[in-house]
Amino acid sequence: MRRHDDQEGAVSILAALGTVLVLLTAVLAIDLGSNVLTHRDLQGAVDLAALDAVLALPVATDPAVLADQYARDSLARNDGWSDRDGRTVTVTVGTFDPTTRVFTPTAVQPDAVLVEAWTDASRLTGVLPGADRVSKRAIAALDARAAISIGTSVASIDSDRSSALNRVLSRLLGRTLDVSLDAVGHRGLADGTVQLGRLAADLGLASPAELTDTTVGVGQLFQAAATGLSASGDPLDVAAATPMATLAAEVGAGLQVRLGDVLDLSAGMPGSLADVEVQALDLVMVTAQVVNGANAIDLGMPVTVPGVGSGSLQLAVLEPAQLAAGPAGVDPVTGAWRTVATTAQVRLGIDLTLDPVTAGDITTSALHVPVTVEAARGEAPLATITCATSAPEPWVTSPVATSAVTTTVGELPPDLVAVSTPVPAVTADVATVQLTSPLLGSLDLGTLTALAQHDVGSATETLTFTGPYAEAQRTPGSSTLGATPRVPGSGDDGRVGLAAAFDTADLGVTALAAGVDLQTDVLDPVLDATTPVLDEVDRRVVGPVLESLGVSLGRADVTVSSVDCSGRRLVE
Amino acid sequence: MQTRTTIHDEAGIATLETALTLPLLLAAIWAAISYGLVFTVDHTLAAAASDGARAAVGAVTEAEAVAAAQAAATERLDRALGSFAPDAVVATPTVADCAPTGARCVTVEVTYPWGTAPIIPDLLSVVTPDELSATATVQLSH
Repeated sequence: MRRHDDQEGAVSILAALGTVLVLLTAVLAIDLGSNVLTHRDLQGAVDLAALDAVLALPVATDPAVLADQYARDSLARNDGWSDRDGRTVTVTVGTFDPTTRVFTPTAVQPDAVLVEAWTDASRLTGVLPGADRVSKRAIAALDARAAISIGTSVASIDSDRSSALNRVLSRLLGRTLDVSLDAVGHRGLADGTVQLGRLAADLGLASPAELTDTTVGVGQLFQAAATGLSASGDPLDVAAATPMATLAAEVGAGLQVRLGDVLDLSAGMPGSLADVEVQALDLVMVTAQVVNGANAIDLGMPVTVPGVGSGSLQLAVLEPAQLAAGPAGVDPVTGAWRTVATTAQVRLGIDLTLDPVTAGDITTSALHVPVTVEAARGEAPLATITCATSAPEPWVTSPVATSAVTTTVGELPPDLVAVSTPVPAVTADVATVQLTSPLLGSLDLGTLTALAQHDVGSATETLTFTGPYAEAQRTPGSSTLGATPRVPGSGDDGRVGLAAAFDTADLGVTALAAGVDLQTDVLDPVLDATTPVLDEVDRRVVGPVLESLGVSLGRADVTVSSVDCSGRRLVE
Repeated sequence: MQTRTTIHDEAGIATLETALTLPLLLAAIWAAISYGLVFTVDHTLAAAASDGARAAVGAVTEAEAVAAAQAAATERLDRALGSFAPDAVVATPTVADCAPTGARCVTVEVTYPWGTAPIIPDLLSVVTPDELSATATVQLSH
């Protein structure tokens, strides 16, 4: 019987204990959940309050006061917040350094707001560990955006540059194409700006954000740009609409381009792109480079320079240029600039035949001058954008790195695309040299050869743009930019310095007769005759071709097309 | 004989007690799971509304703000709830004047009809809400 009594109700007792345990656990879970809910809701409300508060900075004369009001209004909207019930909030304006991620309180040109809020912890049981007060903070910073390009803003377009632009554009877009814009048309394109919001709408896209992933016909793209330019209302844009429409008609259907390869919008917030503008000529040239890809093309360009018998130019765009729009500064994770515009990486093979040189008794055959010009990418990152109420326009700074250029006098590589960097220097046979003497008749002195490789490194100069936008600037600010001296003889107009590169070539004659001085009788006359010819080829042909691709020696043209100060983001 | 009677008295007691208490325990466990799911969904809705509001701040036009908010909130819902989310879960961004300044604000409201579409059968509908919702509002302009 005792055993029977011991067993009766055993399950009930266990169940009762279990139920109590389950209920206690449930209460603790509810308590914990409620506490988590308080933390989460307060953090969410504080985040939105900081985002609202930072909206006050670019416009208010006393940003601290308006930021405080915006933050409190936001907390009231999102959390039913008031200063009653033990809740407190502080709002501090200051600056935020994205590199060190440090917020510094200051009322002088603040670009960030710190919102801190406290409330009582939610507790049913009071048995859970933790503080009685919940504290949350958030920092929001202005995140202005700008559109930037480097290298393709041709400030002064004369007939030579216009001709080069047509030739390069035609060959990049297709061998049978014949672009026929004149200098006026090119200047019009250089002055016009295409608004991305309008471009997206004219392409039938729902928003500018879709531009990145959209592939369209090149003719369709140019026509949409022309439509947008025409509707802009700005006389400069309207003037650019006609040449853009001409281009659209000449290109026609067939060619396709992925817009994300032309415009780097990866760092930008999709919504802020509508008002971003890019230069019309930039859009055209970069599109053409992307369409061509890494294919070597024969420009088929006549070299009509006195002293030049014939000439040919081969072009390879290894990496196309890229326009960029987005926020300023460095990505704290990758350490890379968030928005960078680049020039193209190009190789240009120039094969010239110059008229023979006669100096006294020395004569040469026609001179064969092969030169390869290789330009690395120049870069224009967006370093800072300052949106201050004290200035009429935002300030933009960009530490511009110009293209490093290597000029090689020597045999051209058989394949401009496949050859390694830098292009190997191979001795070129320039001409045969003869001595004509009344006694000896015509005596073959040997072969004149040339070999040289000249590097001009990238130089960096920080440009400061103060608007109004679009604003174009050119590096260098002085002719002594950077540690690497510019090639002697290269002009301030950004020429490659072809003559100077040839001047530094290691010239030699393989066999010489006694009594003939190599330097004074052969090399000096050859250099005296070729220098003005090569300088003219540089000025009228090579320089314009490279400039049409945004490349010039030791300098860069940088354009900030538009700046949008309405961006903001949470940084903590 | 007495022993046999005692055996008859004990027979089924444990089963009976288990039968009586097990439903209570199961109900408590079911309630805990339901509560956890409700809490999780509520947390997801709040996060989706907050994501939508944050996405809207990058927009220039109100239409872009609505589109950005809708996309961000929907992405969060899809990511967090996946196939569990019924079609009735909607994120609705609206733009309107907001108190007290009259500035333009976008409000993202996300609702989940828990009463009609619970993730697990809602056996405790008395203590669970018919609808879960969350809102977040952010200022678009001054």
